[in-house]
Amino acid sequence: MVKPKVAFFGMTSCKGCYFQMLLANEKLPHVLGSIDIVDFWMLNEKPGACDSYDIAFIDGAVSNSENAELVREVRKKAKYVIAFGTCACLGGIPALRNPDEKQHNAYHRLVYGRDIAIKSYPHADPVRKHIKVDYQMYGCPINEREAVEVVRDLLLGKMPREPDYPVCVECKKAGIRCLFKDGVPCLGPVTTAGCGAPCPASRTACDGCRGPLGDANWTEEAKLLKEHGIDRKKMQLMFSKYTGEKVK
Amino acid sequence: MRKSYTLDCLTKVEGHAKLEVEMDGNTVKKAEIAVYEPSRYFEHMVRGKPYDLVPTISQRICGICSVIHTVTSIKAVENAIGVRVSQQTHDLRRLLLHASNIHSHTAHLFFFAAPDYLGVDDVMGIARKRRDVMKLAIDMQRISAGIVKQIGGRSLHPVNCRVGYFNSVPDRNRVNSMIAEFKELKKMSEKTAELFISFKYPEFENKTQHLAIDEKKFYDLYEGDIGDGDGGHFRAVDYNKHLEEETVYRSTAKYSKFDGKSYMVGALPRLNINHRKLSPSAKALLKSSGIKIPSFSTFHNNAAQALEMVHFCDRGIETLEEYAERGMKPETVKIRPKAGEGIAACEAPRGTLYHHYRFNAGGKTTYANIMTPTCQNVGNMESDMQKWMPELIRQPDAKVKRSLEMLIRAYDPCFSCSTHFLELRLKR
Repeated sequence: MVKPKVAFFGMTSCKGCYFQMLLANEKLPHVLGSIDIVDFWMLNEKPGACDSYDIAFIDGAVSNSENAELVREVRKKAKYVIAFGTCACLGGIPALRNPDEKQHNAYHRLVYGRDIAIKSYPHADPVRKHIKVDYQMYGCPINEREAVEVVRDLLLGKMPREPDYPVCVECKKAGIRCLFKDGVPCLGPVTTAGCGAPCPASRTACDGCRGPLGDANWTEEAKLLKEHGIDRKKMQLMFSKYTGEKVK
Repeated sequence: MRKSYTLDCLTKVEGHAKLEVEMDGNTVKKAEIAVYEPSRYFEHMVRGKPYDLVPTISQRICGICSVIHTVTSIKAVENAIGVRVSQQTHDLRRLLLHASNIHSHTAHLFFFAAPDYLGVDDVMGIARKRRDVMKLAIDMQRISAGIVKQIGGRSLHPVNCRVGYFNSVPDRNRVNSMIAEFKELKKMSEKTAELFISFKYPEFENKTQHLAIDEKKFYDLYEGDIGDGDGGHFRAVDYNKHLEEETVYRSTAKYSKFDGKSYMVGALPRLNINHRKLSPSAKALLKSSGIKIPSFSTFHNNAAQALEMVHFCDRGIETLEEYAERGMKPETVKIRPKAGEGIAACEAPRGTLYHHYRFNAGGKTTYANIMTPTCQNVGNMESDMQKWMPELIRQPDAKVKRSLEMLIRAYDPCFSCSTHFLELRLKR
């Protein structure tokens, strides 16, 4: 049997999702045994040598024209494109600078003090803004179990399904006491699940790293947060932390 | 005859960087590194954000050193707004640093460095030819990440570690299971150290300045003045009096100098400066290795990483045993934001890391400067290339490229953090 050709491409990110992937330890040899990694910028000596891919993972936000060109190239060659991690899906933490788009030159000078050869966009974009993406794997970092399941599904010839329920469901499943009950404001009710709720498990509020759930009840969440002493401005920052987008 | 080499995409390092070397006969005309990872502007992104959000943003600078970014950032915030922290919190943070140091070192040593010395192309080759080594790597990754998860709430980008305290603390059972895990890690670290001191490293040395945290009593990652190896010290808060940062056009990474010279940070400088304070088992291994301290062979950085893992396991066990009987107590700290400036330095797996912030009276960030170890090492990498090229140039191009790649890799560079990247452009 010919093994499917899998590739990984890195845009602008912290590269943490790859290290998270290594934690799928006992499953990893099985997954690695059933695929052929033909392109992995971090490990292989000869990147970019292949002319077609079955599955292409793209991590990181698209933050300059080289990034944008590469994702377009990958889309042409790949059957399935997977946005790998919140930076690739939503812009993530790199997109925190997007609201200051107009001050790009000013803050560039502030950080670097001068002009440099590598040009960056004044905004960090989700991959979806540039090409069609077949699956969004959310999370900052991703969940290694989800990554293994997605690859398995694709190998079996079925399209994986993105979770369509909130983090609250994860807490209930794991028997974690609701943080609101302890007076801790939490983004669990409006955040896409799939993480297994590690933050609430250590009594830390969900901060929405998997991005907003499609049909979330924003009005009720805003009311709840207000009751817990969060003002509008703070709410705005909480909602936009991983997307860089303004929420109404 | 003029000749130039370019290594367009340096692999087995994190992030993207390239090398450019120009030779005129035996004379080095140019030996430069450029990081081409796009700019990430963290120092701008934290501005205007509340103090308690700063560590959450800063930890995303790097996926492999997220723990150290979290802890250093928190320490700098605490120094700025004057938060007093309990011994238990200090201990928990140290435990986090010990485990994450092992997690990062095993990733670098086994997945990136080992292929150079085991005669395989990459980690896939290790998986095929050296199953024993692969198993060791995966097991150490799992256990060390597990400890980080138990303390930090998540193995990557920890959430539990806050300004002033931990949201939840391990109970007595967990403390005891972590002792068992550190003991298991210690046996594995000793095996790793034996493997990495058995390797034949290229003969190359460059006597440059080494800098590392030199805590009075301990070989530590968490606290202490910066030592220069010759008995000189400076305080972390005075970092910008001694270290100078410069932006160069070709690179998104900044360059830094210590009193006008390039310098090295990382496991080798730490070992050179702190070797007397190693735990007895780590000291015995160092003695058996035949490595002469101080060592200025950049390649010994790999052996130093393996050796210090043994030491940090011992320290982990020691710290945890104090809590084996009584367990840890949940705590909270009331924090009132105020205006202030704070600087903190910790030892990341790849060298000293500085975080520096200013806050206004409302606790909003008005200034940030973050100096990552890879940025500090780039100048020294260039100095190494300057020194080694006249000797290397007698070799065929492919060999030159390979040797330079091994050299840069030995630093355990992380070009995604330093974007503030690696390719080789070689002109003969």
